[in-house]
Amino acid sequence: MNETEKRMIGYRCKRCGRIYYPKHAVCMNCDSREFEKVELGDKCKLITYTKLYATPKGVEEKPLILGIVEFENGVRATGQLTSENVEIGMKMKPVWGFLRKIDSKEVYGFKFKPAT
Amino acid sequence: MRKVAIIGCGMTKFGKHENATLMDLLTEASLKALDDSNLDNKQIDAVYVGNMGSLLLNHQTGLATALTANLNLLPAAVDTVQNGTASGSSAIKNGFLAVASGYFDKVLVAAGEKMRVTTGNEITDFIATMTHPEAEYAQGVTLPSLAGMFTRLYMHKYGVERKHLAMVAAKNHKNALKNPYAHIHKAVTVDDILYPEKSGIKNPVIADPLRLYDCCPVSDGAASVILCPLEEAKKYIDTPVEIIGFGQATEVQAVHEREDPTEIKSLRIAAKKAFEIAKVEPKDVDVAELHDAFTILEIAESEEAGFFKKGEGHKALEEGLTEIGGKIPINPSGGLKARGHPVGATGAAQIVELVWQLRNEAGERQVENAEIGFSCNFFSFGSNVVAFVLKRGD
Repeated sequence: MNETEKRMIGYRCKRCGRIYYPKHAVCMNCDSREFEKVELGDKCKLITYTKLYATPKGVEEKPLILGIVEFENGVRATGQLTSENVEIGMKMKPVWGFLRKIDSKEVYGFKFKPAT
Repeated sequence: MRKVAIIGCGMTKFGKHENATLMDLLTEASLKALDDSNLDNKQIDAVYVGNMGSLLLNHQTGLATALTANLNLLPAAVDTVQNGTASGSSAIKNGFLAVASGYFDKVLVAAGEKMRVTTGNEITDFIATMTHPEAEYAQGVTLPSLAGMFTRLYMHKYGVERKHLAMVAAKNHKNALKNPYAHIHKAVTVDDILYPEKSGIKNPVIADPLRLYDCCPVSDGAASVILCPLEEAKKYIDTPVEIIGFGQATEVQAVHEREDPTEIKSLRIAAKKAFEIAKVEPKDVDVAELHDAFTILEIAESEEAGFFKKGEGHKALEEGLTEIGGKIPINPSGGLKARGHPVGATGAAQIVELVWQLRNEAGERQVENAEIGFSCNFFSFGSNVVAFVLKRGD
């Protein structure tokens, strides 16, 4: 699978259907231990954000724009935003990219980009 | 369960201690607490030391073992307690439970951190290790960034403005001026903070909308207390302080998973439990030490702890209710904002301040006739919260 085909994944409880991101070992709703991976989709909206100037070791970019988004199924995620021209309620979509270094190792994952 | 009293306390000045090791700081605070308690060394049968980062920051582990030998408290039974930025409170919890259970009689609790050993970006990375490894930390999330996102939501939902955040900072700086142990002794007004171009203070953006004056400093320091059964306390000290309530509660690790990201349910549960055990209500509290690592947290915590209705903490600030002399003075010590935040030490420093307040020994920052005190200490952004209720013994 190439990078443009990567999809953000959540974890759906096989018993009650509640979806989690990140994954849990035990469902917080029904205590089931069985989950299946589900795609979270391309549509989310921005709940809140910050422009971080005091970045941690391993993050070169200043400011680092971080936000919390909510997908249409109600699942939320925290992540980097690709633009600082954002506002609460804005439509976003996940995109794959470089996040930071941890112990000199490059870490990749999903960030969020304004959808319009 | 036996009733438990605090019969001694001590702390180092908070700030930058270039010439003291972490063990020096723990030792200084503990000797002061031992002297304050009038106990003989050999009476101590257990020691708990709270610390978050000695492995990473100071190349040392097993602080409790080292401290016990240094203080000649051998062969006391000892443990080092790590609960992130709530390590100090968790160490006191362990001591409290040990005495309450009847297993140990005289317990030393020490808590300390030496953080001013590396750069700011390494420290913020170290603190960020409390966040979710994949869903937060890998993204570059830090505690100030969580606080920035929380503040923006809070402003949006409850009409909190930057001036309210500045009121927290100005109040806590003012209180710290009267606290010789505080890291920061600098008077600053709300206008100084809001208009840095006029006042000349440096107030850069840290995690917008939060600026430098919304964030606690990085500090070195230690604080210690001595615990014993309440029934014996008067043998050692005229004014014992009783731990009448303790509560602790946890929340999901990733902040975005909270049902309502403007709520801190863990604090609400921990405080409710502590008040239930204590058989008092928030309105009975005379003085509170809250975990104001960021100005917004003092506002949110004053609501979740039950002092004000949700969304009204900033109005209480406007009315001066949280100042010394107000209805419920919050952070007379200067709080994390100005007393400083040597992370693992903070929970114990909160308790030391409350003990001084309840013993009427807080000098110029004394809250008049304080009988009941409340503290809350956060791991990370509240995913684990420890709360205590203290009462002046008669």
